[in-house]
Amino acid sequence: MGKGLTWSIFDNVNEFLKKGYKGGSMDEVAKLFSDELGAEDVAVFVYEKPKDSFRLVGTTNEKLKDRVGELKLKNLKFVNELEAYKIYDISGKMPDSMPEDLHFLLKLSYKNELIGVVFLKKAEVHTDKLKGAAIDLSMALRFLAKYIQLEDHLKKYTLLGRFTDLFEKTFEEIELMKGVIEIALDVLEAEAGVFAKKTEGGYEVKIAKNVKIKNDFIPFDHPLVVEVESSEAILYTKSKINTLALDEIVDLHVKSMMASYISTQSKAEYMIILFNKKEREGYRPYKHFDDIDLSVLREISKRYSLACSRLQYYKQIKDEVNKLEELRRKHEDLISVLRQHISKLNSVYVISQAMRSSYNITNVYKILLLGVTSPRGLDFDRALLFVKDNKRQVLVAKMWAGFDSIEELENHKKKSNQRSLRYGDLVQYFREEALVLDFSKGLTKKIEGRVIHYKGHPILERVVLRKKIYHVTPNLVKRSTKDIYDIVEFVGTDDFVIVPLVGRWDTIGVVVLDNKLTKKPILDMDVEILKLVSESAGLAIENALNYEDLKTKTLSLERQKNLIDYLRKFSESILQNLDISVVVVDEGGKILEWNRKAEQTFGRPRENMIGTPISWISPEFEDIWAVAAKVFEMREVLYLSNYLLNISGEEKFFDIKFSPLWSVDGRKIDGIIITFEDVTTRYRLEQERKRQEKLAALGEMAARVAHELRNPISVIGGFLRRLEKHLDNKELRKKYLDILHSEIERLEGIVNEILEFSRDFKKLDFSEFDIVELVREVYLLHEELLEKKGVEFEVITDKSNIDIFADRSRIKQVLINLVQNAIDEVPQKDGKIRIVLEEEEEKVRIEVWNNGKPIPPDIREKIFTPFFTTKVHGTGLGLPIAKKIIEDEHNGKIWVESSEDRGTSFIIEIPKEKGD
Amino acid sequence: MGKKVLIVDDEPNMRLLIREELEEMGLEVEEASNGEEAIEKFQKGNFDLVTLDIEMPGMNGLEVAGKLREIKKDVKIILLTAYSHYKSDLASWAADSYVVKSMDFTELKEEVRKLLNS
Repeated sequence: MGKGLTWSIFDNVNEFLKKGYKGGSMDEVAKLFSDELGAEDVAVFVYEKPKDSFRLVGTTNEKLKDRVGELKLKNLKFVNELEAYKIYDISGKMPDSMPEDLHFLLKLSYKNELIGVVFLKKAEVHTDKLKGAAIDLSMALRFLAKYIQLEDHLKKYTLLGRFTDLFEKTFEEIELMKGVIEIALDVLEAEAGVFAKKTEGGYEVKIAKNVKIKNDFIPFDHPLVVEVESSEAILYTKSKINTLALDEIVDLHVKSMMASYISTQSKAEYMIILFNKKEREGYRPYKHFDDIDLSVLREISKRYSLACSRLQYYKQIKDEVNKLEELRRKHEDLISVLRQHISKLNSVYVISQAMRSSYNITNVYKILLLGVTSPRGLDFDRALLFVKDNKRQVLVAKMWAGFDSIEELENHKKKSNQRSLRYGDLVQYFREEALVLDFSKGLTKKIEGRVIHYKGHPILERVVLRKKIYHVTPNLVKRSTKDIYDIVEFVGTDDFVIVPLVGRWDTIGVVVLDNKLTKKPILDMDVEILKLVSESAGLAIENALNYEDLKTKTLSLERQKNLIDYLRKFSESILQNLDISVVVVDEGGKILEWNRKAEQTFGRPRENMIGTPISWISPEFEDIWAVAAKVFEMREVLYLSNYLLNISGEEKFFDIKFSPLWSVDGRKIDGIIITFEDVTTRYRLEQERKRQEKLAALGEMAARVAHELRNPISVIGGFLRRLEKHLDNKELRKKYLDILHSEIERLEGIVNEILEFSRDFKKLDFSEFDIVELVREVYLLHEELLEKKGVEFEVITDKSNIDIFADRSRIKQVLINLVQNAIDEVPQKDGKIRIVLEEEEEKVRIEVWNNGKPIPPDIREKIFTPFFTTKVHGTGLGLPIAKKIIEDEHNGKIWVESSEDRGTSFIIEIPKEKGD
Repeated sequence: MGKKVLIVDDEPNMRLLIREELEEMGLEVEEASNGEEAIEKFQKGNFDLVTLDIEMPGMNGLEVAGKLREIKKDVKIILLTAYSHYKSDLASWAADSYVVKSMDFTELKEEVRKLLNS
C-alpha cells in the first residue's frame, strides 16, 4: 500500500515539474495523501527557504484550488518548534488567508530539514499510516527542490560551455557583447537586457535586447550608475525599483532587475543590466531574479572581462608579430651590410698578404688586379693598372684585367670560382691563380704602353701627387670640362674609381676600377675600403721593386772578380737595402751595426750610433736591451710582435726579432742581431678587422634573438592562417587555438627571458636569509618531479644554517635553474643529484652535481653564452642569466666542472656580505 | 600514387604545421624530430622529398642533408631556416631548395610542388 502511494506521489511530482501549478498534478498528490490518511481535506505547502515562506502547491480544498502557486504564508515561525510527522491543532495561530476549517497542521521534514507543511481538516487520521505517508511526501518535495537546484547548476555548466564557444569564435568587441547578452538573457531567463560601456561622463548603451531605449547615454550621476559602481552588482525587486529611475532609460515596466559592473585589464569598463524574469511553464520558486541569478550574472561579467583581455592580447600579439618581423628584416639588412664590409676588409688584408709573398713585380701586379676583380676579393668588373714614369711625368698603362662582354665575365667568374673553392687559404689561391692568369691578351692588348699625362690633369694630378682616391661619376662627367675626357675615353665608362698606389715616399702608379658590365653601383663603402688598398698595395709593390733593384745590383756585382769583396759588398748591400731596420749590439749593449733603414726609421744617423749603448736611445730601448740581454742567457731567438714604439711623437708598431750572432766556430755569441719590421699598417688593418668583427657579433646577437622569436612566430602565423581557413570546423578550431595559446605562451616566455637577461640590476632586493633553507625550498619545488623520475637527491652540509646577504629571489632563480638543468641531464636510470653547501670565511660555496653525461670541452666554453642551447625546449638564456645574477649582480663566481668519471658540477661562490 | 615527404624539425608544432599543409596537397608525410631519427626513418621509407630544419640540437640540417644524399642520391631536399643569410652559400650544394621560415607557407608549398613535379 505504502509503495503504491510513494509511486503515485513521485509520478505526480514528476508531472508537476513539467507542467507547473496549472497542471493540477499536486492537487492529485494532495488527494492521494488525504485519501491515504482519511483526512478529508488537505492543503500542501512547500517551504521556500530564501524568503522564509510557504507556498501552496496543491490542495483538495475547493476554496483554495485557484490560488495554487500563488498563495504564500509568512509568519509561520512557530513551525520550527514543532515535531515532524505529528499533527497539531493551530486554531489560535491560523493565517488569515486560510480557510478556518483546515486548522490542523502536519510538519514535513527530511533529515531535519524543513520541507513544508500540510494543513488538514481532521486530526483523527489513520495514525499507522501517518508517518510513512508524511515521509513519502517529504521525500517527493525534497526531490523536487533538489531537482530545481541541480537544474540551476546545470544551467551554469551549459553557460560555461556556451561562453567558451563564443570566445573562440568572436574577435570583435561588439560581437562579443552581443553574444554575451544573448546568452545571459537565455540562461537567466530575463525578458530584456542592456550592455553599456563607460565613456566620458557616463555609460553609453551599446546593445539593447528586447527593449526600447529612451536614452542611450546614462550619466555618472544617474542613480543606476551610482548604485552599480558603488556595489559592483545589484539586485532590485519591486519595492525599491523606483529609486533607480529606470524609466529614464528604458521603455519597460520593470518588476525586477539586476546589474553588474565589469572592469577589464585594458581599463575598459562596462555595465550589464537585465530586466524582468520571464514567466515559465514549469515549477519555479520565485517570479523575480534572486541571488543565484545574481551570482550567475557576476560569473558572466568575469568571463566577459577575461574574454576582453584575451581579445586585447590577441590584437597585441598580432601587432607584436608584425613589429618583430619588421625588426628582423632591418637587422638582417644591417648584418648583411656589415658582413660585406668585413669580407671586403678581409679581402684587402688577403690581397696585401698575397702581394707581399711574391718578389716578382709582374706577379705582384697580377695578384693586385686579380684580387680586386675576383669574386672572392673586391669583385670589381675591371681593373686597369698604370705605372708612373717619373722622368716623363706620365702614367704608363701596364695591364687591364677584365672582359668586353658580360657573358665572358660571367663565364670567367664561374670557372675561377670553382678553382678558388679548392683552396682553403685565399692567400695561396691569389698567389697561384696569378701565376696561371695571362693578362697580356684581351683588354691589355688595347692599352699596353699607352700613356696619359698626369701633370696638370684635373683629376690625375690630385690622384698621383696628392695621393687621393677619386670616384668619377656620370654626374661629374656631365658637369665637367673637356679636359677629363681623355681618361673617360680611355676607360670607356663614366663611373669608375681611380686609386693611387702609395709607397713610402711616393705614388708608384694608379689602378682604375669599374663595374661597366654588371653595372653594380660603386658605394662609399667601396671607396673607403679602397683607401686601404691604396696603401697596402703600394707598399707591396715597392717592396717587390726594391727587391728587383737589389737583384739587378747583385747581378752586376757578380761580375766582379774579387769574390770576397763581392760577398762583403753583397751582404753589406743586403743589409743596407733591407726594408727592415737592423741593429746589432754586443754583450755590453753597444751598437755594432745600424743600417740605412734604421737611420730612416729612428731618425738617427749611423755614424752617431755605432759604439753607443743601445739603452741610451730612449727608455723604450732600455726594455729592448733587457730582452736582448736575455738572448745571451737563453741562447735562442726571441720575438716581440706588434710592439709599440713612439717615434718622434708617432705611434708605430714593430715585429722585433732578436737572434744571436754566433761566432765563426758557432760556440760563442758575439752579439745580438735585432731586426725591426714596421708593421703599423698591417697592425692597424688587423685592429680594424677585429673591431668590425665585434660589431658583427653584436649584430649576430640581434639575429639570434630574431631567430629565437621567429620559430614561434612562424608557427603562430601558420596556424592563424589555418585557423582562418578552418574556422567552421569546431574540432580543428579547438586544436589550433590550443597550439596558438601554447606558442604564444612560449613566445611570451622567450620575450620575458630576454627582458630578464637585459634587466637592469639596480632593482635588486638584498636581504639577509638562510641559504640552507633556500636550498630545501628549491628541493621541495622539485620533489614531485624528482620522485617521478626516480632521481636520488641529496643535500650535504655540516651547517644547519648559513646566513648570507643577497637577493633571495634571484639566488632562488639560479638554484631552480641549476636543479632543473641537472634533472634534464641525469640518466633515465639511477639518476643522482647532489647539492653541497660549504661556508667559507667570506663566501658560501654551492655545488650542484649530477651524474649525467659530461659536457664536452667545446660546449663547456659556450654554455654561458646567450642563446646557446643543446635542448629542444629552452631559450638558451638560463645559464647566461644565472651568470649575470651571480657574477654581475652579486659579485660572485659561477663555473662548470665536468668529466667522464666525476659527472658534472655547477659551482657557485657568493660573498656572504654584499660585494661592491 | 602519393609521393612521400619526410619533415625534419625539432619543434613539434612546426612539424605539425608543415604536415597539415603538405597533407592538404595529397602527400604522404612522416616526421622526425632530429638528424639521427631522420636518417633512420629515411633508410626505411622510400622518400621523394625531405624538408630539413637547419638549426637543430645535435646534427644540424646541413650534415643531415649530406648523409641523406649518400643514402639516396636523387632525393629532393628543401632546407628550412629562420635565418636568411645562409642563402647564397648553401643553396647551391647542400640542397635543391632553400626556404626561409615565415608566417606564409605558400613559398614552401610552391617549392615542394616544383621539386616533386620536376
